[in-house]
Amino acid sequence: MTTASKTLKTIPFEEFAADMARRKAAAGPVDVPRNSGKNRTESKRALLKALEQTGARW
Amino acid sequence: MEATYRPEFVSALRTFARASGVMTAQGFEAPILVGGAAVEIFTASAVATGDLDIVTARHEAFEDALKGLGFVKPSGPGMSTRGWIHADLQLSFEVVSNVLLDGLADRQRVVTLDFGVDGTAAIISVEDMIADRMGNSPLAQPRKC
Repeated sequence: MTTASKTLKTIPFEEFAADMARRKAAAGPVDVPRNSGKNRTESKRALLKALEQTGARW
Repeated sequence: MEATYRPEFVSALRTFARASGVMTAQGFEAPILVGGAAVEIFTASAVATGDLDIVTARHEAFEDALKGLGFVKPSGPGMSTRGWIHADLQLSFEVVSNVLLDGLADRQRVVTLDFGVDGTAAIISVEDMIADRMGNSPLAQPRKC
């Protein structure tokens, strides 16, 4: 059985984050709309409710 | 350069990498991160989430890995969910599918990030994510004439 780590290119996270920071700076301010949540399943709604009860505020 | 991302999100990715390591150590394919958390990765935390959606054909093995990391399944009234939660980390995982984009995505495009001692995390490619969102757009639906 193959695994992702064996078959795909692996990028050090620090390198990836640096590239993302460079791209973000080059693009300038971008408004990324949040998910409206209209298509959430009952399971997802329950999970987000439980997550909220831990005090998480994403 | 981790400051590109929220510290809580980096911690979540490292947790995912550890769970992935448990899977691959058993010979299973690495689970793949999709959904809002993948959007957060490719937007450098322009959007934020603590709810990580996962694709894996080995649902039970992934849940076992989560249990080993201290995750629990929420219970009680109104808590019927397939997801798992870690109260201290304020983090949740849910397996949303057993096949990446219903088989339409090429696994070779998956991005694998190396978190050092915490292992590696597989992320859906930004190209496949965009293609999926465009496919779900009302503009992509057939129109009645």
